[in-house]
Amino acid sequence: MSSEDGAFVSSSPIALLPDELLGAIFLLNSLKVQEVDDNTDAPLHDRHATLLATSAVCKRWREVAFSYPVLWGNVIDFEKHSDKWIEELLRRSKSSLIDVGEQSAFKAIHLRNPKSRPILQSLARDRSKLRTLSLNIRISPFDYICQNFLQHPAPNLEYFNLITSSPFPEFLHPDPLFMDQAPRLREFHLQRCLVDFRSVALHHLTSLSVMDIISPGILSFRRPNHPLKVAPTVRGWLEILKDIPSLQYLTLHNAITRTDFDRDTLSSLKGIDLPNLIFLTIGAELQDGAVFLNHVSIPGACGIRLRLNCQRSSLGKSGEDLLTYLGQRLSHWPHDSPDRYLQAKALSGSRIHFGNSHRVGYVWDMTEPDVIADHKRSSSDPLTWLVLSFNTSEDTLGFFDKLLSLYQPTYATTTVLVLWLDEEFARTSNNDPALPAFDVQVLHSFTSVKALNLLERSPLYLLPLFQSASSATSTILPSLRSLRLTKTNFEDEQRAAYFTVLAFLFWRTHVQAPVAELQVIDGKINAETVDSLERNGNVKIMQAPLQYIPVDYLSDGGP
Amino acid sequence: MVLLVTSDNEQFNADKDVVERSVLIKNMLEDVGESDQPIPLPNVSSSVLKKVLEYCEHHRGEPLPSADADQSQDETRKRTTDISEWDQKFITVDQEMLFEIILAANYLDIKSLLDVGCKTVANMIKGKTPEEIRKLFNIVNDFTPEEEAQIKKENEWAEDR
Repeated sequence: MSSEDGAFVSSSPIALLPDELLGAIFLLNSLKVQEVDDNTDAPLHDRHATLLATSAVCKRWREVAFSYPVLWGNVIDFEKHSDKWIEELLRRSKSSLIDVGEQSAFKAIHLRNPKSRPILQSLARDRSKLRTLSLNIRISPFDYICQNFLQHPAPNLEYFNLITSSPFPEFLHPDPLFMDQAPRLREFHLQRCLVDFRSVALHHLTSLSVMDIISPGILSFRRPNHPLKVAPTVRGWLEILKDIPSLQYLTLHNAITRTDFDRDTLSSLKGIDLPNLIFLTIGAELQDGAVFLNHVSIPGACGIRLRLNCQRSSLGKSGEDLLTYLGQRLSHWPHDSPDRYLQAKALSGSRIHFGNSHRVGYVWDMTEPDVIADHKRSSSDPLTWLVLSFNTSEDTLGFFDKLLSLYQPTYATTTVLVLWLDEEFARTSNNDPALPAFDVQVLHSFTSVKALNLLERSPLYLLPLFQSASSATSTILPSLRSLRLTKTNFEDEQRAAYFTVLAFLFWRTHVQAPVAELQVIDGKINAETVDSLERNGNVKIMQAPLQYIPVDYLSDGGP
Repeated sequence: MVLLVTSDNEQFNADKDVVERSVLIKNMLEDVGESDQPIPLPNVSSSVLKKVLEYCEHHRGEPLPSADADQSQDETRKRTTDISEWDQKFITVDQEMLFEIILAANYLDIKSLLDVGCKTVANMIKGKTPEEIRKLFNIVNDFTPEEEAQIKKENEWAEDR
């Protein structure tokens, strides 16, 4: 460098920074946690491009960049970079730890085409450096993953997630995982593939998630010499889980092989304790689910999410077992949690959705810790969410009534009720005493509900029901101030919704419990109807698209 | 009160709980015990110390980062380049002062201030080309033409997806 150049360099204030501070600045720009675009969720800056630019500024900056190997490992894009460049970046990352994908089952690296194999080969060479391995793969590389990752020690692996997209059960790994040497492994997630869950490598897990390892055709694939081809039974899982008391998050979804329990089988099952569990998700046949739940002791504050079906068995004792279990769970709830929220839905197709989660549907694209954190923001009670499927609508309604009855002690402080009954379930014993009937009397217990949410056509039969079930001395939902109707059509030929809602509003005024606000969510209602309802029903109408509405808003009965 | 003396011999009186955001000063005070002796800061000028004290005053009473916070890999992985609104306004200074503040924070061992400074510089670099970075910080390109050609070739390879 010439003296002239030297003078020029020294005039740069950034030249004052020592290498370690320059390195720290480069590190900040290489981190995966970065700001993302609010609309697209895409990173606002290309970390890889910034590192390349940084290392091409001058000799000193290049030396600093190369003396921090972690920078190069941080910016590898396993889905977009070429296999050769990934190999080069792994070389530059030297001994620093590598994260392949993020520590979330929703952020796995997708390896789905032929170029994946060289990438896996590069990773296999550096397998001891892996801290995170989160892959969503096609069928072909699974054997390769077994041979090159699962059969070798994983000294730095903390998080493992493997999702395959091929039909079970061709995927399995029968040997002890990681040669029983994965001392830092804490989270383990599998979907549509099997391993030996008894492996010592899993004994210190805090999170275990196993999904979709049962398929209808499983018996046709079953081979006697390959016991691991079959997902564990309840007994198998109890045996496995008793060695993992550190678990905080457990998901077994479509992962329990069905057992025909008789008295001997049941009496020989030994219960286990999972004292650290924060969130339990079980998706299984009702009988297996109920037996499993009644043999696992978990903390009272633990959240539970159950997806159980009894389509292949009768409701009978399993249903009672489930109710007993839920009763025990409820006994741990605080007596008077304020502003409780309840979704109670009996849906066509013989399904029940029930519980205090604000989220609905099959896919909750959030990690378990995020689900729990989100729930805690709006509830003092543990998260409890049930999705149940039955054989008949009679079974469905019968169980729905029992659930409503079971939860009765919580109703005095429930302020938001989402009550969705499809039409087939809206009959009462007055309609036909011979049929199971919705126990409308239980609604008298909801003395604090300020906001009620009804779906589609259900106002047509539920609102009159509330009126007919009320008496001169007891009005159903006496605190109701906000009625929220989702996807209700006010503009059909008969205008049935209009007249029913209007009659309901008149009645509420008449019994001196007027509704102050009507929310029409994603409904069909024109300006004339709005005007007429507001004027005649003495109610303020708010229209909104279907979206998540914060509980604070609803629990206050509106703005 | 604690008396601090800067490299240009100016004296500053500051509250103990303000200056103790500096781990260096905190340790010095613990070492010497109760004393009226001024603490010399030979690596910090008066203009910079004034800024540093303004920062410490604003963040007075906030919990200090634990000693091993920056050792934790988890912590490192979770760091972002977000800067609070007040800090952003505070650090909007000319480059000379910015780097002086970073050096002072490093010397005085004030982790949160060092973090704000480094994040600011990181944000200035983000998304820029080498030429734009050189221009921004007045850095000379000291690569030989051959070296530059090699880097360019390498980076083209990197972009070949």
